[in-house]
Amino acid sequence: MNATDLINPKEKKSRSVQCKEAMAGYLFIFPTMLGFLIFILGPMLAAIILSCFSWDLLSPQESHFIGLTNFSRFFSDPRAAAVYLNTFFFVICEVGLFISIGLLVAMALNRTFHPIIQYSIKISYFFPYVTSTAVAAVIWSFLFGTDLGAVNYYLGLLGVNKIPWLTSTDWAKVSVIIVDVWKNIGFYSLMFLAGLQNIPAQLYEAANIDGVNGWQRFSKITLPLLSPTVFFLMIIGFINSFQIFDTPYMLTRGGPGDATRSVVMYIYEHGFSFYDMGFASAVGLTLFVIIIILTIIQFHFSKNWVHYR
Amino acid sequence: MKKYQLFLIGILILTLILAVGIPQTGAAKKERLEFVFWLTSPEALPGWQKTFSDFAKENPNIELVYTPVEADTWGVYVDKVATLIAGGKAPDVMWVATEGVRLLAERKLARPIDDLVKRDSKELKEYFDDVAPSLIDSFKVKGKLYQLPYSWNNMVIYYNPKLLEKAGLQPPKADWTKDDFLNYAKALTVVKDGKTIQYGFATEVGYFTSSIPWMFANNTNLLKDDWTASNLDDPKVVEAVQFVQDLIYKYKVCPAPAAGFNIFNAFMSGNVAMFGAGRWPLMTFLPEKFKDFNIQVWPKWKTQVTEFGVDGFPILSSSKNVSASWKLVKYMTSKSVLDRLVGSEDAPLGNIPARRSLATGTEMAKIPPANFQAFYGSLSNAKSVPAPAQFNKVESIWLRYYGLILANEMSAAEGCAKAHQEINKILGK
Amino acid sequence: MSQLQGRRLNPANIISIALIGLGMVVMFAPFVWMFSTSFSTVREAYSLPPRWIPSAFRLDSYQRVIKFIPLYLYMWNSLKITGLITIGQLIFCSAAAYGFARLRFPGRDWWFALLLSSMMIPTQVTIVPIFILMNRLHLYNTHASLILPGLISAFGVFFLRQYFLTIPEELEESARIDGAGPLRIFTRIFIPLSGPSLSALAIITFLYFWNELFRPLIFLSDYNLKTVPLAMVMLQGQYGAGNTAVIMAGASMAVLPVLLVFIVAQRYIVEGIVLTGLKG
Repeated sequence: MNATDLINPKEKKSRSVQCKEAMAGYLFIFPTMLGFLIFILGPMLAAIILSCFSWDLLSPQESHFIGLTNFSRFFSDPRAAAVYLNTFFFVICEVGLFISIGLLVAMALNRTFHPIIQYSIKISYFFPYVTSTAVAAVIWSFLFGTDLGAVNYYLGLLGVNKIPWLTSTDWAKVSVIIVDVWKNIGFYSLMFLAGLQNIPAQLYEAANIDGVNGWQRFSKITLPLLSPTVFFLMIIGFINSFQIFDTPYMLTRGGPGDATRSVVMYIYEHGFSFYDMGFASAVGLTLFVIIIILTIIQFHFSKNWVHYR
Repeated sequence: MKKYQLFLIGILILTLILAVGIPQTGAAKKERLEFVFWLTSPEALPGWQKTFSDFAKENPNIELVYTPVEADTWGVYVDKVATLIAGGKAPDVMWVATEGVRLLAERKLARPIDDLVKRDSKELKEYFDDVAPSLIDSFKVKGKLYQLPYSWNNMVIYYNPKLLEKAGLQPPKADWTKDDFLNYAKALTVVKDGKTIQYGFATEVGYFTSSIPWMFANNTNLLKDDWTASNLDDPKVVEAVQFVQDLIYKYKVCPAPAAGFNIFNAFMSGNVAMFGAGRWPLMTFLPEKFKDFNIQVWPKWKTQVTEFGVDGFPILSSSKNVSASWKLVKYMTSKSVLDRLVGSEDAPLGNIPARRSLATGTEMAKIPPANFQAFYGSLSNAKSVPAPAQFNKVESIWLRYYGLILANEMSAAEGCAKAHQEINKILGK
Repeated sequence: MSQLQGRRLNPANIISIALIGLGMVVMFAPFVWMFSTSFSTVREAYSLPPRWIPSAFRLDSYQRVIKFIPLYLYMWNSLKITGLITIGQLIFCSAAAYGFARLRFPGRDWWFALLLSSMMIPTQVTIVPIFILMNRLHLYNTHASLILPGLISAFGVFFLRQYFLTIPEELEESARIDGAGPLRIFTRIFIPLSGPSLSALAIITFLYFWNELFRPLIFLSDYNLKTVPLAMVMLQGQYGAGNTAVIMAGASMAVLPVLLVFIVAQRYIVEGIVLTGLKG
């Protein structure tokens, strides 16, 4: 994204103009950065410092420095690997589904239909995004009921056996992904739709004249021009999915066992159920570092496939 | 628009926001008392508010500031209170159940009230006579009393008399056994076209609500009776857990529990014939005008011991206002206040008042279930739910393994063995 | 819009229509169930085959919600908080986005990266330090404790910066030649061109904060200050004893204002994002 630092090379600014611009720059970002320093950076640093302390939420006066003990405790906890694997699984599946389904829906929407149809499609795909996760969880808990749920009922009519959506360690993971994707797909579809509509029609017309077939149109025109959108949504998708909490918490409470427990759920459990805030902060820090590293890696590789115009 | 104008507007907006947001700090002439409690349902609030206003009338010098916390579990409620405490805003008095008593006592967050009780023993004698000793004893930690019982709950079996009648069964008697129970459950399970449309029993992945009652009935406990170590290596415990797992997978009289499966709703729609709970299902049934239910004490296995949990109001050690706090605590034991716990058919409540006279009295009799005596009556042979100071961790570990067992992904023996190790580690054994 | 294949009924069209149709069912069905349940008795709600249309439209559940929860007050609270945050974000995020996109100052990219990193640390980790901070500022149990931190949005800055980067240099150049300073350029050129993007951000922000549960749960105490999501938790009750029909009635009522906002403003979303370009 920094590749477009567009400075007119022909015009060299004088020192005083540069100074003025710098001042203006600082002024513009001032309110946001001030708020950031107070409300975000401060607590972030506090959390980083806390990770080296033993800090009991109920008896804060007894906190003491313990160095890296929280981290070693975490790395030696067998549950640590499980929650991270769950989270990775969620992230990869969800981002994959968001990008692929979002793009498919957007492409389908990109063909004109009658405005009313267009409108109702848009609404229906965005509707889930509009509700709260708690309500979504109540609804889907009913739908996913093994014996008394609607989904298994209809599957039964098709001759499919009852699926233990929420009571089996494997299927529970799938259920979480289904509900989370259901809830958020509207956002990704709309983003892609906009990206598609941004591609000038002339390109397609020219391609048509040249006799290019459907697949080539897609791979040579649509995809490359859509790559910035894909990249943006991948970054956002990764950052958000890594911190998944609401959906598994509401739907399965992390169960059965630890099957659907994400890293943030683990953090919440230790911080707020066990009152071990120091440990929770340490785990939060590991997540933070992993997200940063993965984001940087994605930015690095983006040069190979993302085309800015 | 000039630069400074933009800034002025920005500052104006900020000021507006702050002005709107910052609360009025009125002159504090009265003693200020801060009280935090779990709002178990919206219907419960008017009762609380009446209690508070009556208290204010009797104590005009005390300004009672109350904070209702909405949560679906005790744990979430405590999250909120813990944050308050961590942030330096600990209340004076809060509502705490058995699960949290030792937590507070061991961290010295709550203040023992033996001295205050002794001082006011004459005034409180009538109350102590009206409350079962087992309820009071469960609030004693290392011999010191921390709370006065306010309300409590035990576990009984709910059944649908209409479904029993359809299956040709008599309502269960108080001394029914576990085998009787199993026979009832089998008879009440209806399978049509290969699908189970009615289950004899339903349960959930719960500590208080699912695992402990069966362990008590089998004359054992999840932890040793002094709550200092895990008891999961006792074969009787494994037997009890195995029984629940068998109900689901061997006898197929119980659906596999799922986090969102609403047992009460399934009971109302006739898909479930029996389930275990305390008094809280009333809050679901009565507003729906659903009255096809009655209760019976938990079936007898090797013994017949009821599980209970009780709650009250500790005074926090950080409180700067012990005398006002104590006044509130005493007030909460009065008959008029506890009477409200009985609730009504229009605004049902889900706890049982601590006073025997009220829990077995005429007001109670006006509301279903018909066999309400089973609530208080069971206290003659009852044990408190095991709740050491590390309750949250113990419960969390147990639920993880219990969940896997009830999902049939782990055997009862293996689950108990693994949980046994982890719990002992937590308890320092 | 590329409409070359627009109206011809070829296999690609049929498949896409079928897919969308199926998708719509999946998207919509849960809501139909939600509305239907809110009007029916609980017993009907759990019957199989699922009842998509209630046998009778009972308003009992809705009445119960209104009777026991000051839903209108909570909606007003939510509206106030969410509205102020949305307006605030539009102002502050656009200003910051402009600064990061078009103005040069030392350390600019480092500041931007730092701001972005705030998206990567989970709220659960920072909530207690924030809570302690709020307490120190005497803002605990006020709406300001929710509004003030809400005014800062790394996502908002990121999103708007994307758009600002695509506004042609020439526009700025000519304005600069005319002697306009950064502020003039910002207010006279960038903002007017960003109507759609700002609408898009406004909607996304509004939705996010309307449904927010965690911070209001921690920062608010007074019964009268609570917001709509907290009311939902109240309805769920102890051990989930809450009546499903009542919960669904509450949920239906809670979703209506948001739906309204969406319907009114939705056309801006697509337009807005289109012009944002997301070309980096």
